[in-house]
Amino acid sequence: MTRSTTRKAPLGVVLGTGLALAACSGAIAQERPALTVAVNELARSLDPGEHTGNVDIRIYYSIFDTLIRRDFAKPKADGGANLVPGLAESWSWTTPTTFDLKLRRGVTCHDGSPFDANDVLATFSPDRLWGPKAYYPEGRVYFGNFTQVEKLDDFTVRITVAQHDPIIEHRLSSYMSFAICDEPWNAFRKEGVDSKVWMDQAAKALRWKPVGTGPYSFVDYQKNDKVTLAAFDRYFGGKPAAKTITFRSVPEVAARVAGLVAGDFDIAVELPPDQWDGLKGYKDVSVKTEPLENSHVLQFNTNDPVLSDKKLRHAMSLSIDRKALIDALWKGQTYTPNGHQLPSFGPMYVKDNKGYAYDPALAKKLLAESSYKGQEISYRLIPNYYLYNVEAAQVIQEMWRNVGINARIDFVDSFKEVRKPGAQVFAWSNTYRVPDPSGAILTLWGPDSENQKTWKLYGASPAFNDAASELTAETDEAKRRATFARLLTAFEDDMPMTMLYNPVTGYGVKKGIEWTPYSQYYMDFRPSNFSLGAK
Amino acid sequence: MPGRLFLTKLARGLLTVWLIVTLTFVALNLSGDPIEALVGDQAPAEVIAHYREKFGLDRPLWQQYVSYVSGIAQGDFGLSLSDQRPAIELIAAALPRTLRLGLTAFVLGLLLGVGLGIVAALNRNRAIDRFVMSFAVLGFSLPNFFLGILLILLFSLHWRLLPSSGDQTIWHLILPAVTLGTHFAGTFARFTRSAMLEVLSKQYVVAARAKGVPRPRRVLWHALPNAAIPIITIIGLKLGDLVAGSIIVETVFAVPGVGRLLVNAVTSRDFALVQAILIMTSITMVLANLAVDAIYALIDPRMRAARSES
Repeated sequence: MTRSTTRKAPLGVVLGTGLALAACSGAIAQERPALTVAVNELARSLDPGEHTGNVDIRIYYSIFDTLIRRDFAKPKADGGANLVPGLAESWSWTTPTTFDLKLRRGVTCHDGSPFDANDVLATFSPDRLWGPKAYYPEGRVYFGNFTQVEKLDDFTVRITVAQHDPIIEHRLSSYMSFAICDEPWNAFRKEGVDSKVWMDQAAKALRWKPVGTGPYSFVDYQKNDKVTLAAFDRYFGGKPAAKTITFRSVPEVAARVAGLVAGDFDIAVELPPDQWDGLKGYKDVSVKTEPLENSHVLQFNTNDPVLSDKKLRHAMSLSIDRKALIDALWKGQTYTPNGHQLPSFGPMYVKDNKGYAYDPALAKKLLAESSYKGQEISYRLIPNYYLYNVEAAQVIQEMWRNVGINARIDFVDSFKEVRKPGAQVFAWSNTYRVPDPSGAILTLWGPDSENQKTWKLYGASPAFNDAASELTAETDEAKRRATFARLLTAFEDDMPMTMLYNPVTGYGVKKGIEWTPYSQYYMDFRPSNFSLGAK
Repeated sequence: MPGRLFLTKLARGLLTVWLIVTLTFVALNLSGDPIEALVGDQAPAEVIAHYREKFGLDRPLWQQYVSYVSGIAQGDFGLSLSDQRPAIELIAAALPRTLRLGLTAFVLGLLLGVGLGIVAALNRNRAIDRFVMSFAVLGFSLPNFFLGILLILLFSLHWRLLPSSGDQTIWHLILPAVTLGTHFAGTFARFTRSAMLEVLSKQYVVAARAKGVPRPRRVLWHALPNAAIPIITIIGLKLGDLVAGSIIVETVFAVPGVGRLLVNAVTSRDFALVQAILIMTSITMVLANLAVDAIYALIDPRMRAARSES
């Protein structure tokens, strides 16, 4: 942390000018320290519509806000996601298909323009996010149900949907929902020019010149080197604690650790578990870990001639000792979700769902009853695509061998290769993009998912697909939860995948920095989650 | 070098560059889908199709190749897939940093390597010779990533004397330059020693000694210029290797140069950028070889004579 220093001056000069300087708010800004964060890789761009990868969101989370914000630091008492006002002060359903948002007044964009309904219209325009030919096609995954976004007045916006969406608040607080400011974006709009054409120009111009309303504004980008942000003192959530934040690209773990200890960096990200104990030996560094809202899973091709036997798939799942994996690989710092769900699902969380058990005796019994005759099963993975996926595969291979399952690890270099004909078992990850079944299991495994429709790796049972269709149509919370419980049971019975664990991300943080990591890769440097005390 | 010979070598160089362009294009396209690296492991097919169309990757491979090669012929190396900026612009921004690191390391390696090689040759089979050669073998064979991390652990982590990453100040240059320079020094020392030993046993050096020529003059004036051909050959090869050699060192020390750019481009399968860097590297190699040939002719009259006879 590099604090600004002041030169020694004669006492009279100090006394004579001290009061005047103290009264100047600029002086306060000067005294704030600069923060340096060592990251494994810089963002691919700072356009919140273009990329939602971990390397991207950790940086642009400081530049942009969402209408509704998820307060990761303070989840609800039951562990559910806590939604709080962001750029919108309040929101409500006015009819089953119209959702009104009252916008916060007095918010300023980084270009100095006031934030209002026009910025929301620019962000959620059909041409940009949710129409049939949206410029950012991923927007349709979240907002494909929208039919209209209109301005009722300067600070009121109405969203109309085709079908009532009980989790629209969650969607408006998740990926793809970061609000851009309309003036720099619409400056590229030309009458009579196709929206894809002018939006392409706008996106190109703004991907490294983003304009949002967040606590830090963009200053500079040097490829492979750094992204620099500066405190935006007109931020509606209060004055940011650091004068600047520099995200410096340091791909080597050893160099991130060394730089942190040597004082070159204040925070280092993506520190794997084998570095944690070593870092804890330094008094001026603390290690913060957080299990992510992402699960490492093993997918089974239910349409494969060998794996189509459900008993074999259950035996494979039952013979994996997940606690042993977690203790060995993740130092016991994470958990295996009890089913394809998380506590952050809140009212939808099925607490008593059993999930994926470890029972080698039952695995052997099921194996004996199955049609499996000891054939070699291919276990495909892209080496090191996920942290410790190779080590986990080698351990699981031995666990399977112990119950009589013969697996061969096949290294491939892309998911195209992973899923090409002959796929039997492979490593994958599932992200809970919205804390609800519709943001996770339905998207990745439901009747319209690529798994069922395109890749044809999951031949779902009618029980699962019926429950999925019911869940999509249902809006009553209690009925949704009951349907979800049924869906989970059917999913676990179908066994198209088994859960391993949620990976953990580790941060090294210098003493004196009050900052809490979240269960998603967002790095939140808002005043509510970031302050600087004494070193 | 006579004009015809130069033109022949130039044509060979151009053929080499074309082969590299083609092989790189084929190898990268066989290695996987760049869009997958861009959009992640859970992207819907609709999103993947959108980006494939946007970057022209939905066209047949031969069409992509033709448009790429014709682009290069017009000086257009294409847009970086991940950055959306011209590949050549990104390389131009990173190159000065690579050259600063590479040339510093090169000069360090040259001075240290040639100096130590001469000392070792003059003290053949003595303790100092064995010591220098041990250093040379170690410097040559120690992987850069290992030496780099070792230096970080010692000088940044343990003694906290030098910064471990970046290239903001001259202090940031020391550890990566020493890492890369040690490798160069090891190579140069070995070649200088063997070249000097060969020359020192020649009759004209013995004659100079018999005539009472002082040792420094004998070594620097009579022996070293005659030992220069193999040394210049290896210098030429290593000079062309500056960018390639910096790949590991730039990654370990987080220097945002061309080496890092290449590593990132390969990881993200950024075709245009990988191709542009490889073409640039191959051109550097070809030019370095041409320069070495030209220098041979300048410093060794026998070669001029032999070539003009042939």
